[in-house]
Amino acid sequence: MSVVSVEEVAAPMAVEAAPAGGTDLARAFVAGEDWALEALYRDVSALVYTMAVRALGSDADAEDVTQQTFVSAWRSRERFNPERGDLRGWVIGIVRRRIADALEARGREQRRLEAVKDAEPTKRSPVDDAESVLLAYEVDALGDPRNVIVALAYYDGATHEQISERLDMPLGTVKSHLRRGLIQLRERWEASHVA
Amino acid sequence: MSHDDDEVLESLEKALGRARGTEHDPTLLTPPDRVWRAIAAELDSDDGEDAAPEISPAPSSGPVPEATAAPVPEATPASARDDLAPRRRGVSGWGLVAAAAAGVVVGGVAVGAIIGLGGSEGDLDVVAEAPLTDLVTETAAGSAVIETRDDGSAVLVVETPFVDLDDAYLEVWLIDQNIEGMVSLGHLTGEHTEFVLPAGFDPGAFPIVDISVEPLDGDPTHSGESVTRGVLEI
Repeated sequence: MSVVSVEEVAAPMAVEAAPAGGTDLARAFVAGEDWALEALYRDVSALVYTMAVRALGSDADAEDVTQQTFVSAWRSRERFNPERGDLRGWVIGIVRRRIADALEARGREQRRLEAVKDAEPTKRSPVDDAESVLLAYEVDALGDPRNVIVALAYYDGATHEQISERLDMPLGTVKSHLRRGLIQLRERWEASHVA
Repeated sequence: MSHDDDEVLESLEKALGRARGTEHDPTLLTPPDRVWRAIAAELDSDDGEDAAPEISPAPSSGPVPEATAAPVPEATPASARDDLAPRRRGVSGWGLVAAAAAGVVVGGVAVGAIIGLGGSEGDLDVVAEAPLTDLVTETAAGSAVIETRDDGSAVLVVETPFVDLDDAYLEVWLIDQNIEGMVSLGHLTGEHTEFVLPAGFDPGAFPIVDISVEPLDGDPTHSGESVTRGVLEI
């Protein structure tokens, strides 16, 4: 039985050395090296800020939450274990809690003012909006062509067959990308949701 | 713990459900420079020895100071996003994957980690090892190691990212160099799965470690849909 082409096996199976930036960054961050905070900010502040903007609907509040997130991450950096966790996911976990805190404070304020007496419950919760930003980001980060395949399946609702046809890609390859894509998404999701 | 896992999965499923019918728009907004300045200022005011990053220009704009340039890409958050995909795979939450990916010395790092997980070091002896690769992304996906135990039995230990599939399962195979003969070892059941090899089995004759997606169709042969692979170095 032939499972794969000979070329595929003959090709070197070398493990791509991942750029060391990630783990080195995490270690430097925990060690309190200033550049690590800057690097982390450069890396993840747009995602943090966008999640906050979508959830809070206010640029000013989102700026506050972004500031709180990085200040809090830096001050509690010794609680992060670079051997076990993912620094970006850990920061996303912090912004999720800060967003929840901001919404909670806002809710208290509104109840106090009775300003929302007649407000209709919104269909989508603000937290969901932040999660949608994160999902869009994580799907995009799957890289070509997996991001396109996963987006077609989950955003457009395309069937496997439709994706196969549209991208001129064998059905098995499409399915394989989707399965792997979901595995990766779940890993990423766990990194930012189990904190 | 598994309760947390369920919640995580549920929230992912909900997010995917909400995505349906919307546009996939990964565009991110860049926070204004004053946010960074406020962070630096707030941390500067911290007392104590490990106070603060010195105030520097917002890292999201302008040239990156030399000292900070080496470990991270010089980029704005928006363009940095393009670089994230390959990088993040190297720092995935799975400790072993990260270890295997970050250390090119897979032998040292990954085996050390596995021995750490497996219990007392004296009980086992690593005789062969294969760094595993995701066949689609061609990135590191953990490792497979053959250990001999004190009682002489040989065990293949597979450490790789794992997820339960609804309509299929993952199966682990050892395949010969010519891709003609193969042995099924069984189902992959978690991030750490061990398979006892039959006595007298020569892994040198089947050095390719292969993980396939198998549909629940009762067909005992390989589906042809390999997702992960590595070659044992004995």
